[in-house]
Amino acid sequence: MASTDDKVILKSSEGECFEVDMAVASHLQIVKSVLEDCEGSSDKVVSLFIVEAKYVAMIIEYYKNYVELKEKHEEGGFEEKLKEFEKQFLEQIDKKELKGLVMAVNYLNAPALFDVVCTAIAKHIENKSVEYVREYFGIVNDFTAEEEAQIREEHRWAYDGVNDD
Amino acid sequence: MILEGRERASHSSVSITEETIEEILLRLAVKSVVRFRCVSKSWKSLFHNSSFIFKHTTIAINRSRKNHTLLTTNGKHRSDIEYRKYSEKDDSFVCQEIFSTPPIIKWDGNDQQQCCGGLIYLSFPRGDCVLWNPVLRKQFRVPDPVPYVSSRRTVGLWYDENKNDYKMIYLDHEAKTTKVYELSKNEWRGIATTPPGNIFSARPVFVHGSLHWIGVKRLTYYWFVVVFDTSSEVFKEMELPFSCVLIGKTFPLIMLAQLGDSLSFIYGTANPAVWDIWRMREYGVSASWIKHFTINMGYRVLSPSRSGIALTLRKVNEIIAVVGKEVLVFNVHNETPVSCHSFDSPLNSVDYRFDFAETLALLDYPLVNIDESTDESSA
Repeated sequence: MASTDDKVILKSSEGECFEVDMAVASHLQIVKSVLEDCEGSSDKVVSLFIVEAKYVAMIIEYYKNYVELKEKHEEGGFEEKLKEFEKQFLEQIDKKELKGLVMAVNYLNAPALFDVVCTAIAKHIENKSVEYVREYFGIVNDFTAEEEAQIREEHRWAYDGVNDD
Repeated sequence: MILEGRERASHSSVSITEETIEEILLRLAVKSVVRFRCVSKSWKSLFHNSSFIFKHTTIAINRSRKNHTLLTTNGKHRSDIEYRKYSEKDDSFVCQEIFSTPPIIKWDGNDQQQCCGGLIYLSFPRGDCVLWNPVLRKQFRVPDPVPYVSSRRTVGLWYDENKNDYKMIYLDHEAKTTKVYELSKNEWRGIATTPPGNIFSARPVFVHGSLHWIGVKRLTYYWFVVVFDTSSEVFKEMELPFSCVLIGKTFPLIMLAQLGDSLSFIYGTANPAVWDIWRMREYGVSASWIKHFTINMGYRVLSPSRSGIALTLRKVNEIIAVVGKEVLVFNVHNETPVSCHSFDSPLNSVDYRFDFAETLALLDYPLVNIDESTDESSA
């Protein structure tokens, strides 16, 4: 019994189960509060209905490294090491998946990773065209052609050097 | 154990929530924000919301503290200035962007330009001034603090992080008047306080919510730090590591600088350029002044009274110093630099600084035409 006390099981929308250390899961505020509400219960399974397994895996990977690095670099240098890991972590995520990930992280309320993913998406759209960004976020243009032309005219320099890929 | 259905429903939509999109957009550079004004009506109104501008500026300022973005100022000719933004790369700096002042802005010398939180203050020969946002390519004419602006004046610009406002102080040393300007109200108001002693340095250093100048008491030659606490709007005094600095020195160099969140004091001879770098480790405690290292530039720095120096903290124990065309990296415990690189700093550099942050301030301001009469060479 004692050995499983510090573990919790996270269940994805597909029903896939992930066994995670409490130290890792407690970074997900929503999981933490559910567990606190149900203290004393022997049931250690938390269903994350809307979060797909691939995102659950990413989030666990991030916080597993976060917890390990924090322990290892208590004396200092944690932020630098975390930055290195974050760079490598983001490289393996597809730009479309970033959107799914940010929704999942927002839902689970995990502030550190939320900041990382928001920054990554901002970096991705930084030099993109208006059309690309509308498509990326699924936003409908509600300006008339004249209105849009006028707004562009006000700050023409902002439209130089933009790429669409 | 399951999460409640209520939460489940509110999050099950397939698109990203507006709050999350706002969080992403807050992390964009100014140029992208300006471009994305035409994505949709709701994005445009979000960008013009003062709370968005406030949060965006705060994030940019926090980021600038970590990124070591260097801004250089150079006076190509006496009448026009160029600013260059550099980013750190392999212990040196690479130029990212060049901002030239709008042609109608005339510059009247080294001491009358200042930069804080992304806005640059520039003054005209007769004393009136503009606030200029180089990234937005927008300038705003500030009303004159008094009908006749004294040549014996000191001006300080700062960004008030609590009020989300750019503010300035105007000190008239002849008439002994002090005025404070707030950009959001666009007006000057008088305050009943004057600095203790004479202000010696032109540009203030803004740390710990206060502006700092080097001051001197005329009769006693007592050198000290003049402090203007911007929240209580009162002047204070702080001690330098020593007070009788100039006696017996030829061509002295004496200035304040910013080093991370701390106040730094630079003291030495200007020709040859040998400068001691001091830091006040605990703000407001004069006993905490500590001498970190000495920068010896020999005769490599010309015109020392005008050559800039900027310091920034990197990692735990590293200090980057930018002087002339050189980037020196020091370990705080060691006198000799760990590394020394040259970078393509522009000729006639007069100022270096590490606290430049892009800001959306002035986005909603109309472009005010500057009085033609101040632009003598416009034809």
